[in-house]
Amino acid sequence: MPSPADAARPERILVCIGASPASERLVHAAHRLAGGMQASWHAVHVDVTGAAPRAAEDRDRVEAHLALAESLGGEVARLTGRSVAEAVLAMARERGVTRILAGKPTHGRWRDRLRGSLLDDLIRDSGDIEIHVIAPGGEVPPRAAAGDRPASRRLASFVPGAVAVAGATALGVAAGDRLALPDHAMLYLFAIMIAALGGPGPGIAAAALAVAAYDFFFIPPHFTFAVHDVQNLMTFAVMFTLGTAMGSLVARLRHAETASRQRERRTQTLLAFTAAAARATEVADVAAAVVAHVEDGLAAPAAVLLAAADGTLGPAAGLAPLAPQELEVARSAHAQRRPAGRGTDTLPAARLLGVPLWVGSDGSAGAALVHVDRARRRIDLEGRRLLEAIARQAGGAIARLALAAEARDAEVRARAEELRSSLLSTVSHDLRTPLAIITGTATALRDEAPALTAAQLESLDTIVDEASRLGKILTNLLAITRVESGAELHRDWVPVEELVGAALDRQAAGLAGRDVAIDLAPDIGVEVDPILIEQVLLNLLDNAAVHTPPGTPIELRGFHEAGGVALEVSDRGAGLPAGSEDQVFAKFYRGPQARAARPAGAGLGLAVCRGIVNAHGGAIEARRRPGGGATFHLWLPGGDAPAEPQAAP
Amino acid sequence: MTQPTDTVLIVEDEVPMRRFLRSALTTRGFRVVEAGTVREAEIAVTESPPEAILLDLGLPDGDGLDLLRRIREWSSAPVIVLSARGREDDKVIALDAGADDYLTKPFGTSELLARIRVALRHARAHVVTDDPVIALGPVKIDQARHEVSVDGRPIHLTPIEFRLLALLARNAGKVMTHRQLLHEVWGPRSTQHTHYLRVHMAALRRKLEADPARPRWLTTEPGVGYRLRDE
Repeated sequence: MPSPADAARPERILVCIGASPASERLVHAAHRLAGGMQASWHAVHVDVTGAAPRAAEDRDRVEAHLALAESLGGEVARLTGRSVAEAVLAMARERGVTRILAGKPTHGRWRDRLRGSLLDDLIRDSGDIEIHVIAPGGEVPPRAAAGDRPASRRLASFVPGAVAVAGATALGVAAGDRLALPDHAMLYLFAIMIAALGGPGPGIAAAALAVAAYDFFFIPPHFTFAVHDVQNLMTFAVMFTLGTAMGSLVARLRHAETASRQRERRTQTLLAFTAAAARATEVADVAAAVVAHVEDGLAAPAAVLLAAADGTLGPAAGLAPLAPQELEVARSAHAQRRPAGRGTDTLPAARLLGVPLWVGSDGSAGAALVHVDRARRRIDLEGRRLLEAIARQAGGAIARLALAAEARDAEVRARAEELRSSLLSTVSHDLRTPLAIITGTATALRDEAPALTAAQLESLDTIVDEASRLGKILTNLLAITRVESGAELHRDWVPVEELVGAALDRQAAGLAGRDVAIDLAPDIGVEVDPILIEQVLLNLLDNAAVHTPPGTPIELRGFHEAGGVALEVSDRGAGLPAGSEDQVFAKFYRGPQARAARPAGAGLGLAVCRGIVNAHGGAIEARRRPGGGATFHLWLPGGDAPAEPQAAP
Repeated sequence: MTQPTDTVLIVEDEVPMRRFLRSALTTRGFRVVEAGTVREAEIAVTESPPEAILLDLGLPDGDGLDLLRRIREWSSAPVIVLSARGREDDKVIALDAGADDYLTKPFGTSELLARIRVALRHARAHVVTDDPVIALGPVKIDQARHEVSVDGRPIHLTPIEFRLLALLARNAGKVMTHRQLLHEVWGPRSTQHTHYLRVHMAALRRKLEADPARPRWLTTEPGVGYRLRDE
């Protein structure tokens, strides 16, 4: 009975998987149910101890079902137990499972009578766990009979038993009366043991043969199969039991041994891969190591595809060329971050299995493909695990190499930045010092020397003005070098008013005698490097001052536009020649008017403006102004003032 | 204002630059001591303690800043840093390390003398008792009564604006870095938040300046800080 507390218990679903093709339907049913209830789910297969080993085809199907469940997000387990119901219920209780899904039986009623029914057992012992029974859909193909070895090898395994029984018989007959009846029985038991080394079949066959021979040759009446003494029937029973039990024991041991050998081999492969991946210095080395180790561990041809910077996959190692469908498997695995192709729910018809090269919990560096059809051994669940472990390690190794490469790039960039910075500081010092000396000396002379003529004073002013102009060009050169070398911007929110104020202050001399009208929307600011944008405004004002007749007005406007802020510097000069609106921003471009206005100009100012504005993610353009003149329109990211700060108490 | 006996130490490696500085200063009656290297500067500072120091940050051995820090350990003489445009970071570092002002190369004699005058006045103001009322042109700031007026018209300021203005007024004529202003007004944890400062400076300008886009008193030193002009 579910108690009230169970209401809050998270739903957990367990589905019992068998070798029947109907199990695939069960897996999908469990996936759907879990999806609907947002529950986690387990897919479980139970190997019953003491049962005859399954046919290879059945084992494959069980693996395929488990793989399918895993690819659909189920947790997969293989259990071993004395009965399916017992093992399933034990796990269900341990994991707090609330619902168990099982398939409707596809076999005859007689088998349940003989072995007990899974459903009956589940229902009887499940307590408060709900049991769902799912009907098989469509045709259920008949299952293969046990025995996975070729007929000739199967027959050969019976030979040692037959020889041993014959030997025991011959020995017994030769010994004659010197051996008592139990001694003969012992000889046969020994022969059965030898036969049982070949497995349960040869064991049972040898037991039958031994019983027959024992009865025929040694149990009175001799040379008949008649049995008088009931005691002898007991001996027969022992012989049969021994043959069967030893046979299945040997079979299981052999199975376990093969499995452990395979596991060991795969562990070795994985370790070897780990070492190779750790040594790799190039991503290509990792890809080659994946191919080599997958081919070694799974005995199947493999390929690795790596994701390029733009996310597309390109072949890196192994099988080539790949068919479009095969590429699709890789692409899907990489994009979905989970296995695709054969044995999964994505592109299951493919001849390859693809797994992503996982990076962390949600990344992928590419995909590894294994050609399942051309595998020289079956690729079982363990094999898939190996493949996935290699893929995971490869993803990690590739991510590590990418990080290392990034660190190297960063170092190179840092060195370039350092070089640039020291170059700028040298240029700045070496060129500015003479300029400062010229300016300083000229002003000192102008201010101190007594009785200079007007012409002499004018010459001194020219020296000062030209030195200052040279200084401006130098500033522009340094600014454009800085922006073009991709130096980091020191962005901050700055009121437009402050930038305009600083620019006007520095350009005061050049704008003397002009009416500069300023119209700024209240509280607008821009997210910019203030020094650089001030330089832009300075250049635009300087441009307007130089290229328009003295005394003509200049207008400076600032307003919200397209999620940012627009700044416009407009003049009433001759305007721009049609079609030159873009040219004016070219480095060293000087229009005919520019040449006339200032013969010695460098044509750098507007190029610097465009470089700086573009570096800020903004835009600048020159427009012909209605009514004459030019408007330089720049757009910059920004808006209203950030939230009001709180003062310290 | 300047006494003829005031000694100015010039730390500058370029001989022609030193010549210009010396001629500009001696004409105005200053005594000038020159140093071309860090070593010479250290000796000069100890032997004849100057009233003001002109320090070129671009010394070839590049440790003008180190020299500044060492001078600051035992001398409070005002230091004016000489630096080029585009080296705003250096100026800020120097100002925060104890320099009193800076001059951007190229500069003329009038600029040089104005800066030295302000620096010397500030150095002496520490000795004189602080007047609670500061008057700068049309602006009057009564520090005791927290009152500000422009042309006799009372102006309402928020507490932050008042603190900002009072701080600038106490250092009138001198540049204050963003960091210094933020540290004094908002506290040591806010020294990175320059946009706080810009918002409040804009508000102050709107209240005090006739044309906030062309400030007469509250001027911007791009990339460095602000200055309240006192002349």
